[in-house]
Amino acid sequence: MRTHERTSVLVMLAICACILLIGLTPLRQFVRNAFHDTAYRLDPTAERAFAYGELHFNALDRYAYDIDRAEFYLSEAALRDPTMQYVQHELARISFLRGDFSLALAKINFQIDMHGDSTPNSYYIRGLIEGFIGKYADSARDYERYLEFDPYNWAALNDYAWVLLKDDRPDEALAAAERGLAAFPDNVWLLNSRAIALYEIGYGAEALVDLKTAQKNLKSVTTEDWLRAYPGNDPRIAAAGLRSFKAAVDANIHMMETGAALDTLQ
Amino acid sequence: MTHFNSLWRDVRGKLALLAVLIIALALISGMQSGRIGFESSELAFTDASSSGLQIVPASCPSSPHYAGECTSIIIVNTCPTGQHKNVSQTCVCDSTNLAPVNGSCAPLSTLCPAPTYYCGTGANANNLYYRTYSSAPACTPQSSLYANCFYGCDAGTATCRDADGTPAAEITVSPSLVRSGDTTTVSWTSVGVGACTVTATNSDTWTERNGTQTSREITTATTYTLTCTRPSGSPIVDNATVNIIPVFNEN
Repeated sequence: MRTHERTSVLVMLAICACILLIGLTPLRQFVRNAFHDTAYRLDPTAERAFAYGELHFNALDRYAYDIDRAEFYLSEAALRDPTMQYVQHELARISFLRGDFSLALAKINFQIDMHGDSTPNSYYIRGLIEGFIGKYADSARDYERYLEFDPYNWAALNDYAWVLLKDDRPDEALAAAERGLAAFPDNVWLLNSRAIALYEIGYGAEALVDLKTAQKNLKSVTTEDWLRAYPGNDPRIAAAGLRSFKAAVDANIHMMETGAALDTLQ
Repeated sequence: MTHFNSLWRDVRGKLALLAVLIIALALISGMQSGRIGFESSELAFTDASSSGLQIVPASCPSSPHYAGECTSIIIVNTCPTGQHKNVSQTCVCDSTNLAPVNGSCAPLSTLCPAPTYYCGTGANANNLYYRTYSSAPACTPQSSLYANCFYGCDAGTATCRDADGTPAAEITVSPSLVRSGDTTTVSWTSVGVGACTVTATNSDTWTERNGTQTSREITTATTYTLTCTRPSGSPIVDNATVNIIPVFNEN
């Protein structure tokens, strides 16, 4: 009988372990979170806090992504070691994603003051924040600075074109978009930006061709592609983000085809 | 069969307990993870161009773990320093402030005419204008009114005339003799000039083209210097000194 009971208990435990390991991912994450919280309380170091923060700031892990936990642990890391190489950079990104652009700008300025060229993509982040605030000339300078390190980065060239367009420099925006398209000829973001630059300069027909190509190419863009284009975002909004981008391209086509876009040559 | 029934009787209670525990933990973790994702500022952000078209920025290289997903290594930049290849695979200057000149990159400012001053014509003959140029290669001239010349504009020198026919600046102090600790009034005027600055040996300083100010307490002989800039760039300078009334001690 005893042997019987032992066998039955072992069989049950084995089945449950399989379910836990293979199935129920949220449950696994829940358990992992609890383990991390306990481990941190027992060993509260900046490195551990930063590692846990980064774990929860990963757009490609649907169950681990948790911006509140990311912010908590990154803030803990910053408290314990404010000079840690990317901690202010990450906190700036979180503030940016939350829409607190003033705080984001303060944090990224702090990051750049401390680490300068050793974290070149901090210039990119600052350009992004400045663009969202409306400081387009400052943003352009930061994108230029980042592009010195990474001259063929499609996102940087796309965003550089964005702020140049907003700063009323469509010729330069066109040059930036074309530079990106030389390396990524099918990139939908760059096609959209080049189309707008072309339209602003007066080449409406060519602009429409670019937009139609972007519309066609968007059918092949997946939510994973969107998350790579917008790292740090919650995987659960990727589908909505992609829909929003498609809607923007469709709206641009509609505006051009119906002549609703303002004629800059007037 | 008997063996299986016996086994089942042994485990069913425990299995039921474990099943309840697993379901409870799954519910808790499900509640914690939430059904609605965090909607960031980037989610539906677009920025309208001047024509009303929607520009869509991205943010690919923002993560510290960025591993080059949005960077191309296909194009090899064999251009000289300061240049890169464009879509036609020709070398062009990196900086928007430079333009290709004879195979290298030259500042655009060297490609357009220098800014100049000039007098107006006809009804605007008494006006002095300042002409600048936009970036090369367009070099579009842009003029703005620099000064209304009260005594007329000298087309030859592109400067305003004063009553005597040349740009002028003058400074006075009143009174020019004060007791130690008193103040004086500093007045200055200018015509047909650009910026002016008043400086003094007691650190008083003002930057208007015309003005009247009260000095600090004068404790020693103090010289006030008015420096204005002609349109050509050369300075006009005038000075005024306030002195201390001497005190005589009778022994």
